[in-house]
Amino acid sequence: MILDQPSAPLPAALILAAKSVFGTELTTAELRQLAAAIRAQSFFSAQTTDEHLLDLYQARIGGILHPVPAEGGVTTPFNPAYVRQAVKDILRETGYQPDTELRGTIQDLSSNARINLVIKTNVEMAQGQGLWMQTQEPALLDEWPAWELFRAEARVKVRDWLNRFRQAGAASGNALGHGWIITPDERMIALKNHPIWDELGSSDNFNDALDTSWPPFAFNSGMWVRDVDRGEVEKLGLLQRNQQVQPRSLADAQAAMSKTLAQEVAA
Amino acid sequence: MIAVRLQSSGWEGLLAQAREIGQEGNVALVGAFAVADLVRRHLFSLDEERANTMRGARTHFYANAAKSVHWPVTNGVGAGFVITWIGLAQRWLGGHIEAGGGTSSASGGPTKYLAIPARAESYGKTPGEFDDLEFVPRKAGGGMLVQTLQTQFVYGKKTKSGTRDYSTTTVGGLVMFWLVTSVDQAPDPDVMPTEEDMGEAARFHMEKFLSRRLGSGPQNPDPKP
Repeated sequence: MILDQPSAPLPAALILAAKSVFGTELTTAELRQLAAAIRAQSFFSAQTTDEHLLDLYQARIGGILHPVPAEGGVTTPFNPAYVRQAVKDILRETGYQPDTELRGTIQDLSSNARINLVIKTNVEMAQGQGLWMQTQEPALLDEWPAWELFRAEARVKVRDWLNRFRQAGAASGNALGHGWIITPDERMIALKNHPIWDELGSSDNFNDALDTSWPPFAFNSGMWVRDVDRGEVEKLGLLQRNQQVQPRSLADAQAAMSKTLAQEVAA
Repeated sequence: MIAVRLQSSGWEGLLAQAREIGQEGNVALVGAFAVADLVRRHLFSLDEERANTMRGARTHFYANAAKSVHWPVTNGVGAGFVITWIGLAQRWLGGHIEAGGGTSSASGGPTKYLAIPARAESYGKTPGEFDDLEFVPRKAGGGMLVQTLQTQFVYGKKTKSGTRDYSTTTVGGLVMFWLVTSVDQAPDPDVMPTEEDMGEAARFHMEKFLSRRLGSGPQNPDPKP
């Protein structure tokens, strides 16, 4: 192994940088009415109209995803705590004052809870999309054809992800054992590109979902995926020897998320 | 940032076989991905094992680092990937950090001190996020940021005369950050899997992948949807 430094922008940072800043007064629920493709190409935060603030968020989050220290090697600008402080500073400069009854809540743009959520969600969505895009490489799909959903971070209030996985599996139209499985020790495993992942991230099924086919699937979920290799996938009966998982395009994944909206418009 | 690159030395035989069937790039990619997968699993495990000792709100440093393992790329002579979470290389390799490189949130000038959290409440936060800290120098050098003393009023119910009783409590005086001019951090080799384990993971998956390509498995690993 050799350690060195890359200089070209990294994929997750590029995914974030490609988004256009979109100031909006829409709430999270209203934002869901936008097509997934529009949401995927936009950087926004519910009820945040200040595009200067969104620019700052986007630039600083880009720094977390691809930190390039200045001369002297100072890395604090890429530390989420310092990004949070920068956001608070700019809100203070603009004279932002939250409504008294909302102070400290998620609706207070200057609260730790709100800023942490914006940073974490955007960092993880770019990382999750990068992970998903990487898994579409045919050689990697061949060697690691499945994902396992698992709890990566502990939460005080834990949502029932086992039940969600079961519901998403049922919504996919495939019975348990057909492309997805819950093992006797409650491991949640499914072939990559199985529609269960679309269903798991769909706000049609779960109010807190992010409408993506990749982790973290829902706001502040604490969930992530790990790769499952072909040997284990064949043992579980999810794939036969020589059977391949077909790669999928990003446009196809985003189209799946817009499916319901398209059906509503058509109706 | 940590960049891990797999060199072809050590598995020339494997790669030569792969070259014969036009799979050298894919085999190298599978090897790098196997190492990336091992590193991710290792970091997620550390996140479970290593909650901060101050019992502050968790920042999930190691889980964040695991998620920042980027996808491998091939470069003709091997394959590699990077881990971008800031601080991981410092914990792994250790080293000397000195104040002066950054900009102080208090003065706007170059930083004079590094701030080290002293309490659970300050863990994962910056001094700039507190508006009630006071600098107190220490005889031995450096200093500390101490919460200023504040009087808290607790009001009781209204009395018959229309006034309210109240009691007061003095809070503050707690050291929130230690300020030092430099730190020397010892390396922690357990932050990453061993080179042997990484090499073994790469070899295991490269061999499995190649044997399928050489055997009865599909010769074309690029199935189209």
